Amino acid sequence: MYVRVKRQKTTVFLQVNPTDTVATLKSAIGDLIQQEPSTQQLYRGSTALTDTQTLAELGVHDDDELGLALKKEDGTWEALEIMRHEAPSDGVAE
Amino acid sequence: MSQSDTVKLISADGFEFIISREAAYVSNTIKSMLDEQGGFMESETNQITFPGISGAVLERLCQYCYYKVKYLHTPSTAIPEFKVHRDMALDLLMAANYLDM
Repeated sequence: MYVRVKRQKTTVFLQVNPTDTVATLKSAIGDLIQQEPSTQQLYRGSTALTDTQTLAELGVHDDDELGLALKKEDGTWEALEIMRHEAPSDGVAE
Repeated sequence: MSQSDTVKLISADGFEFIISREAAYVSNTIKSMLDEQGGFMESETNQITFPGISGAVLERLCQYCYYKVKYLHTPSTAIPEFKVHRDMALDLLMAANYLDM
C-alpha cells in the first residue's frame, strides 16, 4: 500500500507496509527530500505521531494522507501547513 | 527507494508530486519524456511540469498510477472501481488522454 505525505504544496507518494513504524517512514522520506529523520515530524490529521508507532497501530490504510512539518534552521518547528486544491481533491463521487 | 527511483511531477498551479518511477511509467507520455534516448531535458532532471494540468487532477492521476500498478495482475472481476468525481471527469479524461495512460 502507499500513503501520501503532504507538506505545503508537495506530496510524496510512499510505498509502505502496515508493519512499518513512523521512524521507518521518516527514513524513507529523508532519502527522497534530503531531510534527516530527526528534522521531521509526521502528523495524522492534527495528531503528532511518535517514532515507535506502526501504521497498523495507527489504523493507517492504503491511500491515506499524513502531514509533515520540518525543523527550521533555528531549531524550532514549522507549523503543519498543507495547501489544498481549489477543486474537490478526494475525487470521489458523492 | 532512492531519489533516482522517483520522479517529480509539477502541476500548473505549482503542486508537486513525488511518485515512484514504476508508477509514473503507467503514463506512456511520461515514460517517453524520461527516456534517456529521447533527449528531453526532463530525463536529466527527473522532473516534469505540466502547464495544462491542475494540482487536483494531477494528484488523482498519480493515485490512478498506483491503483493500476497494484491491480495489474488481478482478475478484472476482483478490481474495485476507481471513483471519479463528476466535476473532475472531463479534465481528468483530457489529462489522461494527453499522458497516454
